[in-house]
Amino acid sequence: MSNITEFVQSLAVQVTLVSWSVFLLAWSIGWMLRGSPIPLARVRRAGQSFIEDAVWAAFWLSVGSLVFALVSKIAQVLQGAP
Amino acid sequence: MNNQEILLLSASLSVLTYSFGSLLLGLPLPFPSLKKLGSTLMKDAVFSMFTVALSSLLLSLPVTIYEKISADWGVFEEWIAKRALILSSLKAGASLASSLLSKVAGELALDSFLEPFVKSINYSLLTLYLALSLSIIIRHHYAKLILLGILLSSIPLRLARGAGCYLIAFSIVFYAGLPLMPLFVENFSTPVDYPDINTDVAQGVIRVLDRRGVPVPNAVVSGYDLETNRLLFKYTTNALGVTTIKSPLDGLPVNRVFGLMVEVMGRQAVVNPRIVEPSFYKRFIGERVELDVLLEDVLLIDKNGVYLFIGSEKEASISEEQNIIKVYLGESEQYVFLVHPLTCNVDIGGTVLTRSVNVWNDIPVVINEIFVESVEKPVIITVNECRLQNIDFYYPYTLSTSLSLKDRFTQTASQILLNFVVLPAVYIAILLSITSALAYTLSGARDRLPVKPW
Repeated sequence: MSNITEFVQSLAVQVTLVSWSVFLLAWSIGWMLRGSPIPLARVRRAGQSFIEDAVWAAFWLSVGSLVFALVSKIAQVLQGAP
Repeated sequence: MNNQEILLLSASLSVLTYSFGSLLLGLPLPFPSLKKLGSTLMKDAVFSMFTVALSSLLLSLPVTIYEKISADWGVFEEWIAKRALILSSLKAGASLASSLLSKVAGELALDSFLEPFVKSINYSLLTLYLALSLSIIIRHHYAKLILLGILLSSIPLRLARGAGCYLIAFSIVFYAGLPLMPLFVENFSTPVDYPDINTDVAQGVIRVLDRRGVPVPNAVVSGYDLETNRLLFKYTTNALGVTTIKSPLDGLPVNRVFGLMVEVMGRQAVVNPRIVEPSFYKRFIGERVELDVLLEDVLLIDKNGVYLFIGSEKEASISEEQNIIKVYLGESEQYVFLVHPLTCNVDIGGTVLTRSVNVWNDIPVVINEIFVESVEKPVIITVNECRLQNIDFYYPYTLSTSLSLKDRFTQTASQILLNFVVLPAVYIAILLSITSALAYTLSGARDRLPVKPW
């Protein structure tokens, strides 16, 4: 039954990979929209928000393992474990 | 899947949720709700990771509370076992009584008052066994349930977070709370007076015979418990010398040894057997029994109530002409007693030493003391006219001393239902409400998906 665990883990890895690619995509699309010669403020604003969100997503992705490590540490402190 | 694997799977699911959340957050799509979903998913992942990390605390929490409130599974199981034993034996007694009843009284009596009683016992037993099964599951698998709850609550998109938190809360609350059920039930229950079901009854009669084997009417036959000397039954013989039974539920003890006593006109006779064992019965088809009892010192002179009490050593013979009865005794120089009610007109040819009248249960009884000089000289008794008022002592050994009291059975059934169905159910309902409150606290205010309509 450890297949499920492995499956979930591989799924998580794949999703992380996809997330990184999506970040790159969103980053480029965002800059593309932002720098496009279209005289529409909304488009530029959408591009700006894409870039911001993508940066945040990339940040959380990169600190993900750190977050979980922090959670485990806090839980250990709460439980009084060494 | 062992506990470690379950925890690993939960952690992996948290990681998956986290990556999925960040994927949604980074999607280059202009939908703010999607971004919000992404960040919520990440928060959920942190929450479930937190739960996984706190698993050992969660696992030790039920035991800690259990020890703090000094609950005891042993007491709980003993309580269930005792109650189940009482109810089972009661049920067995009731079933036996109902099978006997249906044989003699038909289905009507069975349905009317025994069936609700048996049903209430059945429901109570069912409740007790359900509680027992629940306790066994909780007691031995609470850790598994908590881990399963952690696993469920770490499934992405909060798909089973409510159920998972409910499982965790259920394990904690029931592990600590269920052993206290006896305390609750015993404190709030009404005492049950269990009906005294007596199934040790066979339809049966006692035939009372005098010294010569002639059936003796109007003899009062009593049975006594040998240990407590308690009266078991008292019957009166009819004209055929057989005890009359007025109800099909009445009869004789079939499985116990009892003492026997026979009174004739207020005078105690020497009976054989004096102590009756179950093997003494003549048994017939349909569990009917019969017992012949010999009065060793009584000669029946007239079946309307004239008896001669003689010494029980030697044979005696009787010759009868018209209403003149000559009794030749087997032994000289002895005292015999002729006993008859005052309403009988009896002439005695012989030496009557004393003649006294005693009142026995409102019946004036004449006792003549006669001295017999020799074997050749008979006691000549002439019964001119004899009437006897009805003697009827009836204290039956019946199928159940309280079986006829339908109300009592209904009352007991209701008490049993209250004590062993309603109160445990109420207690479990209380535990369930605590569980849902705790689950709500654990899972947060919202259980539904954090997706808003666009």
